[in-house]
Amino acid sequence: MVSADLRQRVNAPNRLPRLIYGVIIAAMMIEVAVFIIGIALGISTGDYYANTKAVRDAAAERSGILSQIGTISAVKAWLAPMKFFGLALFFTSIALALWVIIRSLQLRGEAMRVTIPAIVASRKSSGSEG
Amino acid sequence: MALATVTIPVRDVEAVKEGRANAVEMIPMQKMASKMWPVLTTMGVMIVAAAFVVGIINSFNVADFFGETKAVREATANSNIGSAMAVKAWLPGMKFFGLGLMLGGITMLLATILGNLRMAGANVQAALGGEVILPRPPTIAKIFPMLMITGMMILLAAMIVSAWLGTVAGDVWGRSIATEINVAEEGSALLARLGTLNAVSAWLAPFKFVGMAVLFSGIALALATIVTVLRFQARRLVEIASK
Repeated sequence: MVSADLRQRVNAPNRLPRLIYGVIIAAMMIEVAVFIIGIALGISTGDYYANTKAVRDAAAERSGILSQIGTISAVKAWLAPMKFFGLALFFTSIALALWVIIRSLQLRGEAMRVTIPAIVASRKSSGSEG
Repeated sequence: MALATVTIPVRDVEAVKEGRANAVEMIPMQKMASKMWPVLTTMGVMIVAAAFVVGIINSFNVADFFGETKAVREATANSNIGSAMAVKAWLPGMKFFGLGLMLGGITMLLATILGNLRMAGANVQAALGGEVILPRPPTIAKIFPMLMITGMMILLAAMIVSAWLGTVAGDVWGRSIATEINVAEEGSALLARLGTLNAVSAWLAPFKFVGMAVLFSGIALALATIVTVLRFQARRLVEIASK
């Protein structure tokens, strides 16, 4: 009644959700790392602005203050794209999940197409026997 | 790992077959989600739209400020730029909270889909004359509502911090740039506020993204739960046909 192939496919373990969980964890790690770097950047920025404008503007070449603002600006430049990379991984996990849903709907549709007529026929035959 | 299941007794199979009753109802969380998702989504859209309107109004203040020469705009205290910078500080927090409400609405919509899959799956099994067997909620189904709530709490906290930061920004930038801000002395309250403004801004943006990340995790896990349920339903149909 139900082919061995269909039976095997509905009972086969689905490994794709594991890939989805992996992508979610990677994305979450990136966002948490961005947050931690953001805190460090906040502390460094606070330190920098503890200096008066005159001191900041008069910072000599290779001085600590100049290197501090260089680091702050440089980190800000790559931190924003990193945040969005983390979000992109979340969108990837959602796209993967939706793709797996399509495949699962196809599998359920196939199961319905094969099993429901068979179940109805068996009910009818058992009814006529009775 | 095999999915744990539960067998549900059906009192009136004929009523299920005729569409007068359902074999099972949604669980309370799904019922609540089915009522709440339009509320959250509408509130989210309204907040984001309000943020857009506030942004437009704020642009007039900024334009007024930059309509003056550099010497003039830096010489005197300007409440226009003070309020413009205050809005600039709190508006992103509000926008993200609006987006968070919308993502919360989507998560609740997915929970409603799961509730409908549960009811439809049970009805089909009852109508086919089989035992009504449903999967017990897997761990991911228990985690995703918690992630949704956590994400929304993070974004609410970020909005509150943004509102406070707005008052700091208004206080700092409402002063004369040339005669007060630029000459603020070391250890002065004004310089400390300027430092706070820049320092908090540096970590607040990533903090908001953590909130978004938690909400997106919830959505992805809700989708993974739908996959689990759909595959269970296919397997259950084959089981019924094999008996």
